[in-house]
Amino acid sequence: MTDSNSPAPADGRAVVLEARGLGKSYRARPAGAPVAALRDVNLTVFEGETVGIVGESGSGKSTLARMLIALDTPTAGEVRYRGRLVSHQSERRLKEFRRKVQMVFQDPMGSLDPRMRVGEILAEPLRALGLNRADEKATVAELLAAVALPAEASRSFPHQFSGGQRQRIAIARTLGPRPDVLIADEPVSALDVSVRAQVLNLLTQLVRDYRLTLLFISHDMAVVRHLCDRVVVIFRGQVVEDGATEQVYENPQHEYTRSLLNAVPRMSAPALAES
Amino acid sequence: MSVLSVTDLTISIGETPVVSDVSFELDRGERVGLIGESGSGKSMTAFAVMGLLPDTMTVSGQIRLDGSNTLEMTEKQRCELRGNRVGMVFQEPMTALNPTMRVGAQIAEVVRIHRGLRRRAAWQHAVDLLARVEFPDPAAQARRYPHQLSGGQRQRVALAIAIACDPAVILADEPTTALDVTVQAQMLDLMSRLVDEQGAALLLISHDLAVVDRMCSRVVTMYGGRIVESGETRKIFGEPRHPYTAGLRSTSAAVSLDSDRTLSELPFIPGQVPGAGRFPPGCPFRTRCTRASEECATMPPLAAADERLLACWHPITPTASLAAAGTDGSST
Repeated sequence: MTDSNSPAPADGRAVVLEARGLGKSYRARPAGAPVAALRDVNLTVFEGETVGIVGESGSGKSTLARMLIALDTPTAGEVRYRGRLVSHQSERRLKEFRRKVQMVFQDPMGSLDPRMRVGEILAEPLRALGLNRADEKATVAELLAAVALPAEASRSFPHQFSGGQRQRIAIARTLGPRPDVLIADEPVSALDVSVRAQVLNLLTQLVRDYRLTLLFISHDMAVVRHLCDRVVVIFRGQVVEDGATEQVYENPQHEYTRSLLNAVPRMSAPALAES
Repeated sequence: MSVLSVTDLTISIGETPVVSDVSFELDRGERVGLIGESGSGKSMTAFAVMGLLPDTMTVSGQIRLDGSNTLEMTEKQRCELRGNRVGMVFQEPMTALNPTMRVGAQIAEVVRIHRGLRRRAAWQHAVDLLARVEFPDPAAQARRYPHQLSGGQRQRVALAIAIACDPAVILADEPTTALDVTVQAQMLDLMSRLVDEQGAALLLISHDLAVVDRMCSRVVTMYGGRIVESGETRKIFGEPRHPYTAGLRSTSAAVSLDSDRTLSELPFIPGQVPGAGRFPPGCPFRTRCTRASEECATMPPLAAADERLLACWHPITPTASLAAAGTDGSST
């Protein structure tokens, strides 16, 4: 890759997702000047990477995620998935892409149909795979097991679960079509610390077991530090820093990254053993 | 001398208790943190202090503000205290502010009602307060509507309303949870400074232990509507004795800028907070506690031990505390 903004791994892993010169502008008023939500973003995501995209509200990180998954059309530049153009394509041409690249949102209640039982919610994305009834049932059971929910959960409705369990259901739903990329937009922000730890453990395990490439969008510097091996910092619609997590956190180059890290509250009391 | 003293506070919905036997005091100028997961009874306790619980809930015990029990007051008397002797800041400033009123008018309203200020004087007071919460151009900002402000600015308006009448107590329920991290840092600095300047006591409810650690000299842990541990922040966070506090502490520490990044599995508290009325009899935490025994079917009393108040039959012992807090719930 010739992309200067993204560090290339030495082991020559395949490029899974790529954004080139990506931009998105909106017009606040029909005659007004366009407002740029995202400007000239270059990003190369390699197979098996866990990439954190951090920034504050309004920085453009969710806009970037929506364009990477082709839910939104860029006004400049393009997105490619394994070399194939994803931006400005018809849904028919995106069929394979829709299976392979999945997304989890902050509020699972907003992405789970409240009138469907969990079993149906998990089975729906499997239709396209053309499984028979028995295989479909077995896959649903396997998905529930993968996210550590009991098999009986398939007969219940989303509202009967807690926030953490609903997020597990939303994650299980994305795994059905055997994706290779998971984009997660603030998936643990609404959860209590202990439940958050459980969902983060689940994500770590799924990334490993399903060989997922993970794009994790978050405002939480500590969570990204734990989960991701690479971090991309977005400020006012632009990538201001992109590097290995250890390096960015230990030795931030951009002033904005430094201010983000300095603002994170830290415990003064002696730390407990954590292992 | 305490400005707020809560004694044996019990709140029930029908037959179901949601807060049980909660007692604590706030001294003048003191900052106390209230921690625990959602559903532990933190906000209910704050709402009771504000006198904002719905009529469908029954409240018993005492809530003494400047010595008088607010639970024995008429609604009219309570109205005189709310926003006057007790100020409050909630998580969502957009729902706390009136979208149809200029922010200056919303601040002015408080001093007109409680201090009897005339319109012009009240507006001027509002502009002064906006300056105190660090709005660079307060006279112009006073004329704006909530939707014209950012989340952090709205929360500063809510803080201006809370401090408008020099309250003795400020209750802040997750005041920075919805804010970006840099805005949160500014808001916490501002709150510390204003609370100190006014000599007000602060009750800060937060799920973020690092925020409480930074802001509060004392901390109270709640679970299942009960206080399970309380004491000096340094003591409680440095050497938690209750397995619940220890679990919260080790989970928080494992996801922080100072944690071990090579940790493949984060420690967590097993299970989840049961719904109201579904806590087990006896110690409410025993169904999630790795140290629970048959003894825990009886509620342990909240008693003084090791420079704190603690309600646990099997507390983490000083020497074992490091190891036990870390192994809670973690496998492999």
